[in-house]
Amino acid sequence: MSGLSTKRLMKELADIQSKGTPEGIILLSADSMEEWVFLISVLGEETIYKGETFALRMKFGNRYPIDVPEVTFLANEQYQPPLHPHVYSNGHICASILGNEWSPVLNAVAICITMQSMLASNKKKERPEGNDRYVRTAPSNPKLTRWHYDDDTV
Amino acid sequence: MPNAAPFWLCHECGAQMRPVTVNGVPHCASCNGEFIEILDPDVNPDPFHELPPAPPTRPGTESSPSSPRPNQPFQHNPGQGGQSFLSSLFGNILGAAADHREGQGEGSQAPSGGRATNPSTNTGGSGGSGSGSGGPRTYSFNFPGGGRGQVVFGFGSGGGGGGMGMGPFGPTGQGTTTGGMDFESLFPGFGPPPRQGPGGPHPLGPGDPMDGAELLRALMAVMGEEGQGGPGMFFGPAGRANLGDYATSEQGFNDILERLMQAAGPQGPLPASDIVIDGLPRFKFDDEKKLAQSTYKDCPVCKDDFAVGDEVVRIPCAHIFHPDCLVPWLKQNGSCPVCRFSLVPEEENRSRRSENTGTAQANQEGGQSTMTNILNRLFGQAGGTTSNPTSPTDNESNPFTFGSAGEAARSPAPQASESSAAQADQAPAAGSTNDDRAEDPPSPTLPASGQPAAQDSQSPSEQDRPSMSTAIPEDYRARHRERERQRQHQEDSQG
Repeated sequence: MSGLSTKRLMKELADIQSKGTPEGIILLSADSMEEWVFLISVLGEETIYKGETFALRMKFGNRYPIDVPEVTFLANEQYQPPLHPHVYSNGHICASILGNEWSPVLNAVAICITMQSMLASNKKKERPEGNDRYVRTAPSNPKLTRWHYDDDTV
Repeated sequence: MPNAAPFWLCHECGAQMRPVTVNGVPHCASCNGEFIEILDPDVNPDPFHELPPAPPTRPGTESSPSSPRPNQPFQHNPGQGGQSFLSSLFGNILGAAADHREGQGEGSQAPSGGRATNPSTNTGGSGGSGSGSGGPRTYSFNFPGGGRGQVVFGFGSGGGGGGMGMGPFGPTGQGTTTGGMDFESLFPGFGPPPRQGPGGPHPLGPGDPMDGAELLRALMAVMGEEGQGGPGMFFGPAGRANLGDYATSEQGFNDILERLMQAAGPQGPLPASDIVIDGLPRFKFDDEKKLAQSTYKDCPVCKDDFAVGDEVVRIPCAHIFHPDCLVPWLKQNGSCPVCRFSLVPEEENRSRRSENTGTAQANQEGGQSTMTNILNRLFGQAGGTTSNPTSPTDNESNPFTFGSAGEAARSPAPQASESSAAQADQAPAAGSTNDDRAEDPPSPTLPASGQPAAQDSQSPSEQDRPSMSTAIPEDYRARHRERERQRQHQEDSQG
């Protein structure tokens, strides 16, 4: 399995290097086949995130792409997770494709695009309800959280 | 207040109501659930509020002070009527933790050592110098069998000094606790049951791998089967459980939580059965010509181009994959990675969905409860075959067929996950009764054909088709048998 994971990621990396990433998405680091970080910004004048850049970290297990990678926005001195009703202040993201809608057909760039469009469609900068409670008790790996998806508007 | 009949709180739908009694068992008047709780302060002081630290003392301990190590696990008297399974369970778990601490050189364990180790003096979270602000919390509930139980959780969450009283059997608070287990870290997010109204917040307690009420429900589900005789019987006549039933480390506990989450979670897609996986037609790209004729040039999972000599497996939706790429996926999610064409019998999905509405009927008919269904799911048994009250609609169900008609009829299947998610939205607080898409772990106890077979009752034609497995085309089953044989052969030659 780990063979498949590495091979697949190498392929994605080669793809990124040869064809580039979509606008607003930059591969910041891919030092190993275990953890990549992308920079994401939302394009256009309309967005409430104009001028902001976010760092999206993906951790790939050795069952990738069968298993969804662990995806969070970085929350550190340098980067803050976006203020978004589906993004908790610890960087955890409530998005169905990172849970039960994951498919091995998806890839790292596809996740970035989804996150970018999730941000682009948002109109209100706010944290999810219950953010504080969640952040206080959340497991470090968001995949251990049981998400409940109810909102496909943003 | 005392003159009127008290209200009850339903933990399944959140309603406050006066229950209806069915066969002597109180049910929620709103959803007919059985996990309800009396709100009469005389009978049961509001569990959502902190109580003075006065959990019930263990019956009989006052008269047996000679008990050498009263907080030792396994020490308790099994089957005491008033004690609930949960308090026993947590008592044992934490008792084990306390034992562990004892090994850390904190001095003698003599009862006179200043630490309150005698259960009869156990005062919940107030032990020691604990600065924990939480007092014990009381839950009580009814069981399908008509019994009623109570469980007391004491919290001492105030830093290192917190007491950790866990009701009658728990180790008492020890001001010096440093390396022990902290209840809150065991149950991150354990707290008062969610009191969110309809239309509540969008994450279903996102912080809670399993929140309090839900955890109780899941554990009670376990009890529902084992303790048919009522509460307190979980450990069987001997009052003992396997060592494996105890979690003595945080990791162990996380494992349990994860298992519960996976079993009861709404986000568990169903795996495809082995027969279906083995039965999917495979073929080989023998030559360039075949390769050139193929609509799909690469494997959607590994993204490699197909090459001459590659074996591929095809899903009825016509998408093709390397077997090694597709099979692991189907074992955890029985749908096409590309188009989500479902390989899980619609009936299976639907019967889970109908559990909600079916519960009431099931309760009246067979005494089967939601709890039992949850339990069955937890342990991978074909859930609620007797209680599945779907027979009136079974005839409409799509049998598991792969014929052209079947494929057409099954076209809604890929949407199953969406519709189910949407349904969950409508009752955000309803908890695990709503978790109709729970994932059955691909348990070895499940015969490959067993589950679909047990779930299905009739095919539309009602010929000699007693089980769903027969609705799987014969060529699928033949290929499955062939593959089984090959595997067996391989094992034999290796061994």
